Amino acid sequence: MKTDELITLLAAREGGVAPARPLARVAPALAAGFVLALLGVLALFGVNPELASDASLGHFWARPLFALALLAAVLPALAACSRPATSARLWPLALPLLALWLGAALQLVSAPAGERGALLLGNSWQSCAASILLLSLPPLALLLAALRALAPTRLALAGALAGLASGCLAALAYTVHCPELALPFAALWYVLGIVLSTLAGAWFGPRVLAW
Amino acid sequence: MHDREQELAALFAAAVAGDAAAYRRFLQLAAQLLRAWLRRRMTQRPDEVEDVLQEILLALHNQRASHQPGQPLGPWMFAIARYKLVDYWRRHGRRAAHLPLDDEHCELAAVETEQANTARDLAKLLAALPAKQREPIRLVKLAGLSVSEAAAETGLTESAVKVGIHRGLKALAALIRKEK
Repeated sequence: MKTDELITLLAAREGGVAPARPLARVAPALAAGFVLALLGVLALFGVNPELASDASLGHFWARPLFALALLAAVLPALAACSRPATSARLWPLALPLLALWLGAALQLVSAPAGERGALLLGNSWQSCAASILLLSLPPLALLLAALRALAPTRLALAGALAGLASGCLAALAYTVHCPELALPFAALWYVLGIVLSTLAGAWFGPRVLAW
Repeated sequence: MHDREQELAALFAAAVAGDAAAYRRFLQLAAQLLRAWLRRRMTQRPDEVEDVLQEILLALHNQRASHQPGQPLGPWMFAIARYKLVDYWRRHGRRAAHLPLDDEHCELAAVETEQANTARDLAKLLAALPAKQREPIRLVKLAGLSVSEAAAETGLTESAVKVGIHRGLKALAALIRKEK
């Protein structure tokens, strides 16, 4: 094949194209992914029976706010990463993390020494991170499918950011089940769950996003 | 150099607005620039330059919606070129570590018009596509029918014809990635 043949084919009857809008692709995947994660919580773990009374406590909202803030920080980076030649700014990801860790550190130092272990481990530390990872897989699949319609060139990074966003959705959904309100618990196990889903995304990225 | 970036950008802007002749000139100019770019990076394998170039042009076409209006075109084009070149090297078992990071504005200086034939056979590649992709491409892209004429000819809806072309050209790129 001559290259001119290919050019003639590509240009023939070409009617123009609307520029892609990455967030318009990603948003439905996020919404559907969150619904799936929530259904996963209901089906696998059940609702925290104390949810209504917990939700009236101010510090209940630390975990959902953290998950939403991290999600808000990752979305612009994910959108940038879905096009060639636009660089993703990653430093905003650090802000919600630092805020959570700072709050957790304050809670730890102000607690009596004997209670610090309980603040970190709660009653469910064995299952928290794995549950978030499990719940993040359906949103991750939807987000990767959305990215396949776009043009990421750094596939591991794009996959990792998709995994991070999925982890945020999963963590948000998991707060409906999880009775642990201590910040140190979230700072350790929620963050670990989100890190695991980020790693899962980074692993899948090069395998499913190549074009 | 600056003029060439502007010329490319103007042709591309006209192309995405629906000017097929401008699109053809864009692809021709892009091909000349990318051929020179590839020659400098594939000095050990000059006979594979045209293969990679064709992959890059198909990728530019398939991802043409990914350029953000208002952003410079050169970095977008060379980011796709670099992505496809690295992908080509990896598929052929070569390390891409020696790919220099370059200033794309300098890359616009050189053109190379002499083109080699590749062993790739367009007809054979198209034959491997399912009919609802192959026929729209054959009728619109090779025979030059309009989308509505192709729709009447095949019995497909106009949007099915467009989707068939779009998916078919993406599938073509995937077929080329699988060939050795």
